[in-house]
Amino acid sequence: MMKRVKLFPFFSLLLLMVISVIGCSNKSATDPVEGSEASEEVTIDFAIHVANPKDQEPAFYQTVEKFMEENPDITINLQGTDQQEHIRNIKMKSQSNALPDIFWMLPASAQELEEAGQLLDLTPFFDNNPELVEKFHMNMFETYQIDGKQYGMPYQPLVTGFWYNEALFDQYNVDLPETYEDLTEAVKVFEENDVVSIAKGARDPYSVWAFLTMLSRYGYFDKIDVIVEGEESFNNDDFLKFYEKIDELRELGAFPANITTQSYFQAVETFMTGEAALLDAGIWEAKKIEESKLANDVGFWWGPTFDDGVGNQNLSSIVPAAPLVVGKHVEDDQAKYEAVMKFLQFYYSEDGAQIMLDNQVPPMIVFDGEIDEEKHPVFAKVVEQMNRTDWKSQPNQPDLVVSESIANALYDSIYGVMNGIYTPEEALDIVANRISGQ
Amino acid sequence: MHWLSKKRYICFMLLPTLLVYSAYIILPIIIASYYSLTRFSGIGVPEFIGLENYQALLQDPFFWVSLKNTVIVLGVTLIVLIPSAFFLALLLNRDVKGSNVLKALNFAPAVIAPILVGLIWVFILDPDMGFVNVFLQKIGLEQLAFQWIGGTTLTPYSVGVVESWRILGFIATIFLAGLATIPREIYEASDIDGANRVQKLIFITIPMLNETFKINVILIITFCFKIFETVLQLTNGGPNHLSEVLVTYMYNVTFISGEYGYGMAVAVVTLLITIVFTALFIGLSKKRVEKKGV
Amino acid sequence: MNQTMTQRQENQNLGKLEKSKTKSKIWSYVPIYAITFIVMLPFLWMILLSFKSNSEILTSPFSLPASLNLENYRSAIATLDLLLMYKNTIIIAVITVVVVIIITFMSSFALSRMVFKSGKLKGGLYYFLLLGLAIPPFILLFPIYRITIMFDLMNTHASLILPYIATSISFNTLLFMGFLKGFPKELEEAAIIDGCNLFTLCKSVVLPIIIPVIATIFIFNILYVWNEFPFAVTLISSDSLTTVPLGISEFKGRWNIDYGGIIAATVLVMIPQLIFYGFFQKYIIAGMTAGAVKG
Repeated sequence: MMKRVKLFPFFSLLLLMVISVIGCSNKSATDPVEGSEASEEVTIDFAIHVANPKDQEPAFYQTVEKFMEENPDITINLQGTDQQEHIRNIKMKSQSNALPDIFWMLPASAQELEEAGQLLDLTPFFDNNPELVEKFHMNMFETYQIDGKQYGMPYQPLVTGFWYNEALFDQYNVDLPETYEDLTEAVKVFEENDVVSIAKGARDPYSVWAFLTMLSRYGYFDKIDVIVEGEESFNNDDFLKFYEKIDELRELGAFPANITTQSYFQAVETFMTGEAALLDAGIWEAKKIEESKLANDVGFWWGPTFDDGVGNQNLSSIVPAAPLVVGKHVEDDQAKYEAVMKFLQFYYSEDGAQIMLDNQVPPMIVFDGEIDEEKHPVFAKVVEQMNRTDWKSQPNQPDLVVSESIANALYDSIYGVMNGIYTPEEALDIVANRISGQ
Repeated sequence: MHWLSKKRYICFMLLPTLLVYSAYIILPIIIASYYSLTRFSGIGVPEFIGLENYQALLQDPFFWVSLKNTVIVLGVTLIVLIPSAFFLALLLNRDVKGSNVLKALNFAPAVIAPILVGLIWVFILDPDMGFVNVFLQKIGLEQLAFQWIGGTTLTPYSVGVVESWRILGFIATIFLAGLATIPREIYEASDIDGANRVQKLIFITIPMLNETFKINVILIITFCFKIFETVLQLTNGGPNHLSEVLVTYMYNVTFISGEYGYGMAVAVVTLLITIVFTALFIGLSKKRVEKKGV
Repeated sequence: MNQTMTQRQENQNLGKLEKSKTKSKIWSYVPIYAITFIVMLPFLWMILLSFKSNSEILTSPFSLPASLNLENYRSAIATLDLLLMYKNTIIIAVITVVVVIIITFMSSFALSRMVFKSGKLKGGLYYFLLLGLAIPPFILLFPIYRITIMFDLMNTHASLILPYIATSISFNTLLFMGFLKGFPKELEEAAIIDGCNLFTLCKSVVLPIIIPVIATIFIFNILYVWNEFPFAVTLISSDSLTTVPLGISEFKGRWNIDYGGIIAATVLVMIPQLIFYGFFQKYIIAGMTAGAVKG
């Protein structure tokens, strides 16, 4: 009896705290509104997905610096955090109504934020700046729209495919592949000569870009909407062919022996040292390749075409990367709103595009920027591929149009076959089960 | 003591700890338990779904793999760490030249950033290019060159060894503190009785360290159920989640796949399993002491 | 009084010890140096790696560095504001540790020494306080973030100090209780008969006896705070509050990892910790003579 009396107030206090914390998310909405009264000085909180933007995202960092230089009354307070922690932090902030003014977010989560009503509608801004819209590559512009509402803009374009080491192809007298059959022939030769055909590291499961484009060559974008709605199964004959191809590549010895313990970074390094013929990656490695001894031997390839594929096989991959989005609260502060819009205007202008180009990030807008081909031969080669008119980009990257959970199942399924852990059928079921579980 | 133990005093002594502890540990557990009953991605409003997450958990093969791996890690760590840390502490406890430096050096692995623990041990254990297998092949023992990490079976054993290496100095330090509390007079008395080194160890040191052993075992149990960074850096749970432990799996579900509600269900179950293991140990060790004591 | 007694006995024993010294010396030296070497091997190798370029680290980790390349250290020092990080970390660590040791000593003293009306409540509270040992920090992040916002503590030192105190409570309770149980109560009883109050009892009688335990706890609490990452990265978003463990992530980008920088930064961050440990662990043993009580 005694005990109960003692414990009762303690636990009721606890309960009270639980209720207040769970319930307080709406109460704390009274964000401190800074800046509006303090003359014209405005500070924008900008949260970004790397801890050290200056070194890790130089194109972005320099754009911000340049913008602040041109607008001395606006300060951008960069909050850099490593990607996983950044996403976690944004989610927590969204629950406490404490989102930063502008931030980078994964596509699926950005859409959820929009559906929860936490993002600013950018439509009026683009309505007022039609000249900006005209210049955009349309798939860059339209990706982050729901019901005609623009809730985000791509941070950068995402250009992915295979880097190849031409010197190795020459050395072993192998033609540069175009079709899947060419690729398997090349793999056989490299395997005989102890060269890794495709550098890969399963410790970073997301590193499957070129293979995602291959999945698109089996009709991914024709089907994925109905599959997610449950009207068709991910486990279908077309997709099965895709996984069987991976399985065949594995049997031929296309992947490194220690694929399961390698990280993406180690895979890159084996390519850079000339131990691997192909590297599944993207344009972001251009700078590194240029600085390596491979600089003059490297080319860029969109990946193999399949004669049993579905639809256009000449699919390249120039898609919008994850978006930049603006917190809804920004509209409550006129000065801040204007500063953020000014920034967006600059970021997507030709000046902004040129800064990106100087840092070997291709532009999102139609624009004849200058590329110094002598200084940046590797980057120029990618741009050359991007400009080919006989190749058309997939509308998006397959993992970016589904939830993070399904995207991760997709990575697992592809690496599962490469690792030899899953049969093609099991791999299909991994994704199918994840979709039906939601 | 009795007359200093007024209720007022007791409350005063306990209150600060209980307050901070309740707000920052107990309250979050309750909140996490609430989320484990919802479908929630971390954004928007959680949808209450009752025990659905827990039902899904029972049928989730990856969860059972993680549990099995965690128990293996715990077993390996207990078997390797308790004797070796105790032995190390005995050696460090002697008056050896430079013992302060030696103690610090043995403690060094405990303060290396986990990302580096992963990097270093991948170079050692990698089946293809790792130091161990390259060495074994050089001396003609290819048949012993197993797939230490990255395969389907051995990873948790390797994790147990790496973890033991990492916290050896930590556990040994606690043994040292225990050794420091044994009154010297006891040893001196046994000298007079003519006891030798081994006898002293068995009849004085080990029984006197009963509490310290218990503390260390509890620490290792709870520690192994929280293992995270080492696995993340060594294999990232791979290939295909087969080397996942409970906390890495929970992390993966919660933060990588964005299934916060389900992740919290994994977390709550992990917590309960840890409590059961620890309680079993405490119960067992109590029984043993009672038997011996009477 | 006790101290002089043990010292006298030590002197008496010195002669006896002298004879077996040479033999036991070799006995103690060889194994401990061998073990230390094995434990240190991966660590020494890490120092070697810190002189290599990033690509050398990944492709030829076992070779000796071509030259004594200090580039990694240079970039680590250039990237990190080490002074600021140390300053913030030390402020947070010291406040945390002082507070948590005082409050957990108080609660452990109450639970191990004071008389409760209900023994069950006492035992229950003890296990209740141990619960925290079993909790991975990731469960706590989300709720603690909200509590921090609720108390309006974002981007203050206190936002980290409070969770660090809370997460240290269980560990400290386990150690304090474990060791307090083992200490004889005679001294305290004598002190109470002399008319000591609670405060002097704790301060002058109990505290000196448990110096080795406090030293152990002190070391571990400090090192915990020094290396803690999940809370730091969640609750600190202002550069001026950045702490040591956050430094490592500065070298990790989305598409690249500067392992050389990470290794160099780790070495720079570790050295103060090892010096700290080497210095303070002496008190674990130093307590021995102070705590020599008749068993």
